[in-house]
Amino acid sequence: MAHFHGGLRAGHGIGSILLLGGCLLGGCLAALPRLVVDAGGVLFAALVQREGAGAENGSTAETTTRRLLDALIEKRMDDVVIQVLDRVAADPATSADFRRSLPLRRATALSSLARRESPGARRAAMLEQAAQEVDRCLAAVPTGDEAVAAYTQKGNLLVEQGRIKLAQAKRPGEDAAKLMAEAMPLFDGAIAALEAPPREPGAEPPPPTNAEDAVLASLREVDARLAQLKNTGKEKEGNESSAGKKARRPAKKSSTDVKAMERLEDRQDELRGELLQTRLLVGNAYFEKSKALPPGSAEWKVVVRASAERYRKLFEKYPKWGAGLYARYYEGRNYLVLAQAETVPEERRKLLDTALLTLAGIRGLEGESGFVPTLRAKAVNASLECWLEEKVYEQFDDRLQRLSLANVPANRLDADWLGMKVRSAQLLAEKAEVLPADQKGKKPGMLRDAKKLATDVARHNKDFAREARALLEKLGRAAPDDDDDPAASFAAAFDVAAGAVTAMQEKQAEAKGATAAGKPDEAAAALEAAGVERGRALQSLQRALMRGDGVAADDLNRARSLLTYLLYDARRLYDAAAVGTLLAERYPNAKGARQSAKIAMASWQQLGRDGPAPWRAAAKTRCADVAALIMRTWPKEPESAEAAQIAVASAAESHDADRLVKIIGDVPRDTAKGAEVLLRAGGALWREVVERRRLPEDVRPAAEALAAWKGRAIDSLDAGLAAVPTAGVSPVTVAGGLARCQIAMEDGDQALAAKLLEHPSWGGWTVLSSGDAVAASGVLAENAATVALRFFIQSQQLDKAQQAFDKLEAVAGTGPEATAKLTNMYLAMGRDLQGQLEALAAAQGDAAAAAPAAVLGILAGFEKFLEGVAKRDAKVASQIWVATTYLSLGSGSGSGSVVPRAKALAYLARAAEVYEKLLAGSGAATAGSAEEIARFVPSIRLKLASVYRELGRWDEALGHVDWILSDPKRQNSLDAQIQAAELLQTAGEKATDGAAAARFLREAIAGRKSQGGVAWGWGGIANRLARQAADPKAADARAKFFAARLNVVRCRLALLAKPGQDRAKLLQMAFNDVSVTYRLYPDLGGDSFRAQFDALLKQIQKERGETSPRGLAELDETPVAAS
Amino acid sequence: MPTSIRRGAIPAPWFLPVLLVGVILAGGEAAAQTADRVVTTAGTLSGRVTATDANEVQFEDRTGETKKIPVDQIREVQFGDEPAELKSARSMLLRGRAADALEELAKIGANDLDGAEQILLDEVEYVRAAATARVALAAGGDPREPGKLVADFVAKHPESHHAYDMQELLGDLLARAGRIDNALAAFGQLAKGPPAFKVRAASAKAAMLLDQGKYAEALGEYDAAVQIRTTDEASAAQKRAAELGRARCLAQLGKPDEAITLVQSVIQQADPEDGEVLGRAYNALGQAYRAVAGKEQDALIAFLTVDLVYNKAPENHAEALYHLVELWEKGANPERSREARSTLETSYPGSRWAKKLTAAKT
Repeated sequence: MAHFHGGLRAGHGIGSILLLGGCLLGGCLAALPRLVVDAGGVLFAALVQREGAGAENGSTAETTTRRLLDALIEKRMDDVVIQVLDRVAADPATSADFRRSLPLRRATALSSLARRESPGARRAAMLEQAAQEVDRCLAAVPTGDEAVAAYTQKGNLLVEQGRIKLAQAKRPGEDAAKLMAEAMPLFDGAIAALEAPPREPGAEPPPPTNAEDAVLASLREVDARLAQLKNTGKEKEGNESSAGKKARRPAKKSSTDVKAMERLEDRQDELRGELLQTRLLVGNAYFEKSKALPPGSAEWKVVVRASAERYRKLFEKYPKWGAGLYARYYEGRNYLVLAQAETVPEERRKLLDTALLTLAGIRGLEGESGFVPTLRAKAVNASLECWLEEKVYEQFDDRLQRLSLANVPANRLDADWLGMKVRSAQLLAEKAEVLPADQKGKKPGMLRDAKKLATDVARHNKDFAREARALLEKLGRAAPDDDDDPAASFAAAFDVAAGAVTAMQEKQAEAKGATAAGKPDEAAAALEAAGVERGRALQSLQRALMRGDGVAADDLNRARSLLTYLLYDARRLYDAAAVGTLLAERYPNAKGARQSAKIAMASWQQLGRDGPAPWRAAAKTRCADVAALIMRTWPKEPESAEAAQIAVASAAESHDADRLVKIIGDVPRDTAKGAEVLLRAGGALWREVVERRRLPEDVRPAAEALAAWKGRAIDSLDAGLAAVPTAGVSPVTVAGGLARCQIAMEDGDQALAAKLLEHPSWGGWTVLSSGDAVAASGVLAENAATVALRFFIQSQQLDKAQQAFDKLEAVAGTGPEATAKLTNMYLAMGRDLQGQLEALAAAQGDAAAAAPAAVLGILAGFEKFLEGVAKRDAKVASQIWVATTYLSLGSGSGSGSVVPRAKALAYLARAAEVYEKLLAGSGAATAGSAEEIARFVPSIRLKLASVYRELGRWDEALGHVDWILSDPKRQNSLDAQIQAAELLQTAGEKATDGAAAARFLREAIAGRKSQGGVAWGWGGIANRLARQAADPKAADARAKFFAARLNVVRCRLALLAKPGQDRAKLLQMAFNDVSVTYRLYPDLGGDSFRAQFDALLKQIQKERGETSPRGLAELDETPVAAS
Repeated sequence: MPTSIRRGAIPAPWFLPVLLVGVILAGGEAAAQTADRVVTTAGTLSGRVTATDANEVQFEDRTGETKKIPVDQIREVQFGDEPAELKSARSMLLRGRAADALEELAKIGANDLDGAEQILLDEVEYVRAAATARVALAAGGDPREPGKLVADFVAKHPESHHAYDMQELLGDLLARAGRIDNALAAFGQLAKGPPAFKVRAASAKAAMLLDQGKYAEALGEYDAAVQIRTTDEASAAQKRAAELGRARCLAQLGKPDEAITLVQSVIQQADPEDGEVLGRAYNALGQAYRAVAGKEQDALIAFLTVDLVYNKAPENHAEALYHLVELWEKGANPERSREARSTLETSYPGSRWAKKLTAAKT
């Protein structure tokens, strides 16, 4: 038969009792101090409470704080208690007395918080912190109540820490032997903190170093004072012999003395109660220690017997006290445990008999009040184990059978009650089979009771549910589902769900094992079974929640949390996200809320990535919302940093700079992952700044906003870099360092840029040059090489620049795409360089004064390096880079004010020269492969068109555009057509030859044909986009359409200035262009375009001689005109 | 000169058993003349109130000796032969439970006051007017009707020992009605009283300005209140209240650090058992902390102190709960926020704080 003692479900631990004290027999009701032990086995005595009552002798503020702390403890607001204690500790005005009490108060609050934490590292850390606080308290050598409380707390904390180790040891994959060995000193420490060491009788007790001695010292003191008042001699140690009895007071005492004696007697009772508690805890500590030893081993037996011995002594001294009776039960329980591990049959039987004998008194307890029913159930349960083992059924008499059959409220049905019921059922079933012939008639009744008992246990689906179901099957009936029971409640349904979850997890573990063992069929079967259990659990939870009226919020939330997990496990992501989000939003302090929030976030994330396409955007938004919720609700927890990372990714993806700023503000900077989040957010924000600066002026954010974002990016990156751990370099850190380096370069802070780039551990250049193969490839390496190249060039460290250049080439690789990749990197670098120059051009104040010198410095560096490359490196990619960079330096629209015009023209000419040389090389093989150049001819010609456009060499520019558009494949490229139209329009506007200019403008409107090339012109472009112009989803096409229509009008107005034009006709055509567009597309592409149409129409009206041009308003007033 | 209001004397203690026997023999029908009690800041006196005016109560103790007790030292006057409901109602009024006081007052039967002395009828009138006014002030209701009741009382009973209290109440109601000049006049009447009332008058003006958001002016009035030269304990208590008003002004004027220091000094000087003052002090402290960035947690602890420790005065408790609703919400603790909201809405449904919360919600 299965032995349930000593296992996880063993209900015999002191952890399962609630002792409110009291002397059971003889009406003696000496009060025991409150000792509360939670179901999980963590013991928290309300030890600091007594201190509050008599200790209000500080200032008003201090008195208030003490009262507040008491009230907070009462309200279980232990988190606030910790905060109040922090403030008290930091307050210099705090009295020494109050200050001394802080560590113990903190330890109590931490222990209480830990109790509400799920088992795991966090709980262990809290207990560790609490233990440190207790040690701080003990270091101050406390006395009296404080010493009792501190040593008791220490003992309890060590027991709890030992239990955590043992629980960990049971997990698969853990080094059980090591963890059990680690648990031993914890239990030994607990025993030392609780128990007085053995001493010679009459020996002078030393100052207390454990809870027992501390209580005895206080008791001796009280005894002495009482004796003094009574005028009697000093009694022996602790006056324990008089336990439970109050000595008669001498007659004729003064009323003051009488009152003092009464107070002392009350105190005496109180201390005796504490002594009992302490000794119970000692016995328990030994028993817990036994679990860290191999069951049945000699050491194990010694420890279990030591526990039993302590309980025996306690019972013998206090046989009428509740604590004494509990001790008696534990003693019997220990004999049973010893028997179960005993291999010698005779010894085993003796131990079982001893256990039964020990438990007999407890089994025989009468009454249904206080702790009696619970204690009796424990004893009956343990006795049933003995009887079943020995197959002795007669002692389980009618009285005990009635007790087992009695209905017990669900909230009281713990493992002991359920154990008693299921074992009673087993015993009845076995007894029914061996009834003597003359008692066969009793069999049906016995079996009916057995079924009833087993059904009761199965229905509650908690401890022993499986054994109960097995028995029911054996008895001929399957276990009833909770639906069969009309009295089914939330608790019952939840219990069914919890049982199913356990079964599901077991099946999942089985599937894992089978997969690892290469048994796919078994794994599939186990997974299928797990799915069935999960379905059952889900159904039961939903039923439980439907029966939730009047159920405590904690219980409902437990169900919701479990439901979230199951839904996620079932891949019902949307449902999991919804339930998890609800729990996190509405009940963030519920146990499991944090876990549920994390599941909700993960669910939204997966839906955003892999969900149905129409849902993805909304799921991403919800994911970001939940991430923000987690950051707000649990800012100091590891989940917050994870959430922040997701929030950063989401904000970066949606280019939401404001959200990035908010995240930077909210992210907890003192967490381990906070630095990483700051670096990610700072880097993303910096990218936003760079990209938004490149936007057209009408949609570009204000300079102040950009500056503010840049400031926040700097703040975030600096904070992140300052907080990165010294050991281990993550790519995020390197990327953050590079982003910050780019900002420093832009700000002209060469020293900082150099420091960042060459930081000994995470500097981009340092990592790239480290020789690490992983660091030398990938996007990060590309970024590091381009930033380093740009920095070394502009700081004129040309040797290093050459090294960076080589690295860049190496990063690009050697495959057929290498040149294209390199070219793209050069373009990106050129854009950054241009951005840097434009930022310098836009500088204000002192920075503006220094900008020209800085620009010249940068240009000098580049000139020198570019010329060097142009001369010595004939590779196509190198030459393209040289030309592209010259083009960037010469054509930056915003950098015009800082790059001297003459220099800019020279750069453009040099770019043209290099490009032309490359083109020339496409015909005859030079150092570069003609084939390689041939692949780049279109892009080179496009670049040349840009260069000649900048230089005002229109025909040459158009020649290249015509060449590009002569290829039928490129004719339909909208970007190429737009570039051609822009070129024609610019040529028309700027050409000095009037006739040529007019021709260019007409071609810009209506298109151009030459050398087989066809340019559509703005009109053609608009016609081809017209269908998409009314489609709000086609934002890009719409914008291009309206821009093309605007440019048609602009070209017509530009034509007005050219010689030989029909002015009236042109103006009418321009008017028609606007009015027709307005008639067909009344929103005109949005406010920005509308304003531009309005301005152009006003210009037309002005040219027509109207004194008060009304723009689009005219079309509104005269619809006919518009049509 | 106090107006004589009652005749007869309380029998000396040695007569009491005889009188008691007489009452018992008469089957309880004869009304025994029980002692009046005057609860002062120094203790409780038993005897007979013989005359009152706005400044003092004349009292004859059991030995026949007449004593004059200044009104600023009086916490409550209980009349021996007043109905129990009247005593309860007045007690509730003094403890800030004005709505309960009105309910209690309604329990006085039509015959209960038959043949009662005028002073008891006046006392009923006082409790009714004052409680009605307090309810309106607390709930932000229409001040006109209660204003009329209080003004009538003030006009009809200038010699009542409640006269100054009612002047202050009248001033508060007038201020709420926006009749600032009249309110100032009412507070001016209050300033004619003993020193403690002078401090109260200045404080009441200041409170009116504070309510109107005129923080600098309110601060000036509170300063004036604090600087009034007094030596008595009653005035010192009023000054402590004025200091708390100063702190609220300073917090609003961007000087929260000064406000915090000031409140802490008031707390240090306060009696730990003076829950009303400490409740106000911790609310003021919480408000000052709310004005400092990053001190929300300190604010929360201050308001929690009122909620959990000094919660007997409804106005204080309601204010603290209001702030706790907001702070718990901001502190990502919606459950505690909901709990505070529920307590506020259930315990103080008519309070201005509950209304403010409802308004904020909508």
